[in-house]
Amino acid sequence: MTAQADRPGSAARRRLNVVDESHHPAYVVWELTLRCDHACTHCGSRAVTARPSELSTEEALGVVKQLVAMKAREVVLIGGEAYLHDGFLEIVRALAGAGITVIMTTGGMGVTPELAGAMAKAGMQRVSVSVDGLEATHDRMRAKKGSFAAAMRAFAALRAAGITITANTNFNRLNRGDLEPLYETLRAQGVRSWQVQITAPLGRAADRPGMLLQPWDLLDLLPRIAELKARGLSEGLLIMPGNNLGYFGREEALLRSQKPDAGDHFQGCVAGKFTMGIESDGAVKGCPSLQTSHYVGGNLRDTALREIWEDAPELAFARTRTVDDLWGFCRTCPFAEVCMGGCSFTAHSVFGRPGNNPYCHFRAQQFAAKGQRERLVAVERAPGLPFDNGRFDLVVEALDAPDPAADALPEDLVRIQRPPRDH
Amino acid sequence: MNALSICPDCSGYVPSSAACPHCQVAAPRDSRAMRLLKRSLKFVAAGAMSVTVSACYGGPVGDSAIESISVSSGGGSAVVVGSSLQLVATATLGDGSQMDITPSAVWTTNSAGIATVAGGIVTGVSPGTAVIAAEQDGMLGSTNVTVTATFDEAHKPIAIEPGSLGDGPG
Repeated sequence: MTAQADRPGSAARRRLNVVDESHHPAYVVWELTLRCDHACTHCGSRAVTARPSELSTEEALGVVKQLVAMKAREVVLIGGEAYLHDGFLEIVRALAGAGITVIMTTGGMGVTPELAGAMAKAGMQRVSVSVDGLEATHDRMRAKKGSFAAAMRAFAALRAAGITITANTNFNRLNRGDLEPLYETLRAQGVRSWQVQITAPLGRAADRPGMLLQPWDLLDLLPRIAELKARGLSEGLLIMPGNNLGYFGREEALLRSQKPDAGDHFQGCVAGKFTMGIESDGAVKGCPSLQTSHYVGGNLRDTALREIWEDAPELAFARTRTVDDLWGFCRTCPFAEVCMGGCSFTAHSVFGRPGNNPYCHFRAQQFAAKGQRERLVAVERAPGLPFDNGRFDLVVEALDAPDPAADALPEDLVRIQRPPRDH
Repeated sequence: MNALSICPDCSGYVPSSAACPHCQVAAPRDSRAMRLLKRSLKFVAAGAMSVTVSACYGGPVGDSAIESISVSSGGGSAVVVGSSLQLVATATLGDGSQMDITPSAVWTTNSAGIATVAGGIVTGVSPGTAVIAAEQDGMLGSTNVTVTATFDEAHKPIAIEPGSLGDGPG
């Protein structure tokens, strides 16, 4: 016996034609509050306490109307923890009532069966729980004992409430060894899709360079993810890379496609083209992870969303980017015209400006073919603000040179190691 | 935007008119007909350059939604009071693939006085018939389980009446 239920085609809502120039914020990631029940070691926004002046529920409902007018298709509510905003359920209801697919990304600590039921009733369709490794790794990375257990409880509560469960993981040197068993864990939980990305040196992760992958680590990590992707396609667990995981290794088509043989590939940063980020005080960026200091195009408290979207140069950089804006290896790469330097915030978090991205599988392969690798060395500390970054130098060395951090213990990897201020 | 092709040797992407940057296989010299074909393919590709939009802090797509769930057991649908039967829940996804969701499904019984269920394992409590259901992502599949007082009732031999199988050959 089976039962059927109406279900919007969420995957179709996320498919967009990148050569279409009718740019609009189809996919919006909205930080409702920076208040959080975690203080994760890798958190780009350094979330734990609320921003000084966050949007009220009434103001947020006004933003919903503007999102509808701008043809937003899907809105991801984040924090901090989105559920810690007083108007959380009311905002979910308003978005869902307007026909927008509402999802949430969460650590899951406060997702009780009661809250999950209320979220489902309000119209929440999908929830992505952050799971950053097996229990010991996850709890260390998220700096909270019991965090992993809470995430698993959240899965159960969400499943019981009828909300589709998905997951996301930030991979780095602390948790890369957990990749395969984590797949098994998520599959056993009934997770349907899994976004995998790498930890970029943004926010608190910028204070912990030991945690970060070195570019040559992608030579091992990407094929392992691709192997799991192939497996997941036959086992009902769709693995999709985040924008900062790539690019253009032999596995690109497999990694980037939703279906076998679909032939997708990375097609450049879509910040300000089809994605948009809103910070909890109303600041608008082209992508939620972009550096606040460089990419805020205006604030919804004093400027209409349409005006920010259409007029702010801070949101337009990806619309007008050409190969001439790239530099370093990316400027000479045979995939430059398609890739355009990969993920903008990731490149900016390394060098203080986009257009040259050392976190690239193809690039690492090209260096390896010459018996070389690139190593990142932190030289400038991050100021300590949400979505900030320091700066790294790039050292080219022999592929088999000793790895200075090869024997680091897990507790060493998450330790704060800021470069001196006067460097 | 450049159209990419797939290397026939290593399956990696190849920028137009270049040797494969992954395995160095040289791009074959095209005939005039092939050049015309590539030009038209490039046009088609430019009209179909879709991506799955994502963002860090965002969530993955929720593709491959469950279309239906079926519940079955390996050997019959009857169980004796006090003993157990393992059921399996199988989801059929939107892309036609199937997935064993036994460990993740929410299992329920319509009559805990007749049979209980946990993780797909049904335990007989008293004689009768219970509907056992597995639910995930808002979809439901179920099956009837009969609980009998004795082993013989649960495994009753099938009585075959003369002629009930139809006329045999010859």
